[in-house]
Parts: sequence; C-alpha cells; structure tokens
Amino acid sequence: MNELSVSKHKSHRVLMYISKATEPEVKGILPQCIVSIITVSRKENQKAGLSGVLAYADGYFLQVLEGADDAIERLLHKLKKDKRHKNLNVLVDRKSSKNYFNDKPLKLEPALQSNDYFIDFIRENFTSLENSTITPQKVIERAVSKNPLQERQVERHIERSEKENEEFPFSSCEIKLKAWPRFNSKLPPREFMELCALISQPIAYPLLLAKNPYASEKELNQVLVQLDNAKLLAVNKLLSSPPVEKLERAGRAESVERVDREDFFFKMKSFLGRIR
Amino acid sequence: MENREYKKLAIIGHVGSGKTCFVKTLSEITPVDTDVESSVNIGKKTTTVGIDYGRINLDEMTALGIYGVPGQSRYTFIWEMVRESLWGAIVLFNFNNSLDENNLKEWLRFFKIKENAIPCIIGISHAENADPEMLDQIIDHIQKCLEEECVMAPVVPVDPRSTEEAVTLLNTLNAMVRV
Repeated sequence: MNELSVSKHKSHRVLMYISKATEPEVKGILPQCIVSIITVSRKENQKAGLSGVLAYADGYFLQVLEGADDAIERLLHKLKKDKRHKNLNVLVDRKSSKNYFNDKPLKLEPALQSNDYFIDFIRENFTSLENSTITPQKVIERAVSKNPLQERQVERHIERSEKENEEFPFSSCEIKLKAWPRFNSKLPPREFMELCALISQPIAYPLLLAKNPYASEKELNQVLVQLDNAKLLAVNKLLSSPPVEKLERAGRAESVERVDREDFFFKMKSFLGRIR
Repeated sequence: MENREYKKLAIIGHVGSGKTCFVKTLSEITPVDTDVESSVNIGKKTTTVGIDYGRINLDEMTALGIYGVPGQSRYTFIWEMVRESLWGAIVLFNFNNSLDENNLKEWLRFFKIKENAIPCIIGISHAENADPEMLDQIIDHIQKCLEEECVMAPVVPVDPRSTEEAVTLLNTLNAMVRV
C-alpha cells in the first residue's frame, strides 16, 4: 500500500474520466496516438504539477489526474476539445487534501487492478458516488489491458526517446573558449579549429549550433564536453534567446545557394567549402 | 580594382619561415616571384627582396590579397601598406631558428591585432620532425608573449606546402572574424 501524502496544494483537485477513442479499435493493439499522448502529456503535466495514470482497453481511455485546481481546470478544458477521443464522461471531480499519486509523472498503466495508487484513489473517491451505473469494478474491468506487454513496450520506448532528447546542458548558455588548446604534434582537423575559432569570442549555443562545423549536433556536443572537461570553456546562462534574424543569418552560412554576395565572410566560407 | 571588395591577409615572418611557400600554396594565381639569389649564406639559395604576393578571387567583385611580409623592422613601409584593410594575419616561425619574442610583440602591436580584433594564427614551420620537448618550449615562449600582449591566438605546427593545412588556417581565420 502506498503512503498517501498530504497535498502541498491548498486547492488540490482529483479528476477521473472515461472516454471513447476516435481511432478505430484494433483488438489487442494500442492506438497509434498513445505514444504522443503520453510523451506530450507527461511533459506538460509535469510542468503544471499534475500526476496520475492513463489506461486504455477495448477502445476506451481511462485517466485519473490530480493537482492544483486551476491546472486541472485548464487541462479539462483542453481534453474536452481533443479530437483523439469523444464521449468524455467525468466520473470523479472533487477537491481533496490527499496526494494519491505522490507527484509521480503520468504513467501508462496496463493493469489498473494492481496499481496501488489507483486502488486507493478508487476506494476513497468512487464509492462515494451515488446513482452511478458504472461501478468501480466495471471501471477497472473496462480499463485493464488485455495485452500489458504493449503498454510496457510503449513506456520503454518513451523512456528511450526522453533520454535521447534530454536537453544538452549548454543549450541555453553562452560559451567562450578560455584559451586555445595546445597543439604540439600536428595541425588538428579543420572542424575542430573552426569550432575553437567560433567560440574564441562569447557565442550563444543556438548561434553556435547554426554555424556547427560538424556533421551533427551530437558531434558538436561531444567536442564541447571534451573542451569543458579540459577546463577550456567558460559557460554562462543566457538571459534571453538570440534574435531570430541572427539565427537565420548564421544558418545561411551553411548553404552555398544562400550566400549573401555582399558579405565577405560568407563569400570566404563559400570559397573554402569548394576547396575540400 | 574598381568596385571590388578587397581585403588583405598578412603572412609575417623572418627569412626562411615559409612565407613564400605559403603564399604560393594559397594563391589561385601564380604569385609574383621576387626571389633573387642570395648574396649571403642564409641556408637557402634564394631569398625574397621584395614582397611575396598572391590573390584569391572569392567572386567577380571580391578578392583576398595575400602578402608575404618580411619581419625585419626596416620594412615598416611595407607593413604600413599591408595593415590597411587587414583581414587576418598568420605569423610564421621556423622551428629551427631561435625565437625573438620582441619581434613577435612588435608585429602584434604594429598590425594592431588586439586593438582591431584581427584574427591571428601563429604557425611553427619545419616542425615535422621536431623534438617534442623543444617544440613545447617554443610554444610556451610564444604563449607567454601572446598573454603579455593580451592576444588570444592558436599556436600550431604547420606545413606551408600543404594545401589542406593552408585551407584549414584560412577557414580558422574566417571563423574568428566577428560578423
């Protein structure tokens, strides 16, 4: 049994609904939209301080959410307009002083009957409803997956994507080389020299990315990490993003077709690009 | 050169540092060869008595002039001409010759490398078979001069005969330019 914690929100609200998926049901298969629903919802809900579970079975979604009253209200408004489901039926909507899901991020739950947080929630909230034709048992039956392996695969896929997309620690920073590295054997590759030259003056990471001399963002980030580990980088948080025009102009340097004929820098870049 | 955008790249260094070779490597056109046979034993048969010159045409209206600038202070009249519209500077030292720190400082100051934020690279030529410790010492000396002059510039071994290396240095200078 989970330990229920007291909600830190004065206006803590819990909400549970069932809805019918608009995507045609394929027996035993999760709808295609479920990955994007979970990925986006998890991020958005985390920002809004919401937690809960989402389940799917036999063409129906069941979701339980808890969090601040205004956050729940905003999300409910969005859910009612979401075209991925219809016939949204709110089964529980009340204020609560308890935090049932312990601030855990939204989870795709294949087996609601074994989810302790959900069971406690149902026990405390659903049985109090009168004149309801949908019993807690029916709710659980309706939302228990016949193919829990799929849900677990989806969760693993989302975890992998989230790891890959983890923001690079310097992405909202200004970067500057404190000193040129020491080259005492031979001249390093062109890309490395160009990177060091670009960061020899302070430059915002988004601008640096637009001028990336490497083939990929991953390679650029690896080299920046190496330079940082060698204590050659000064990294400072950016107070605001570089203006869009500057980003677009920096990006133009990478395309020979869009070289600005009036600019010596871009002409030289284009010339050197032809020499390779 | 009417209606042309024209900038200069200075290749600065003493006799035997590789200026002539470097200019030749970079130029699109055959440079004006001002070499004559040397009357003094300087370790090679010819020496430049004027100035090595080459040019890269970026397009019909834009060119980079490449000037091999002698490092001796009696050539300051040439230095003054090259300093106008200076785009970048590459200072070359021959690994096998002794390093004169005062010369380096004089060049950095005269060409206003720090003052005008001129992209600058220090190249050490003839270092292919250099003793690593000796090379380290030379790099240390050069770094110390740069720090004293508040100039941040890479110090790199370079082969002036290599087109690939010459292009890498040009590319690096271009990336150092503030757009």
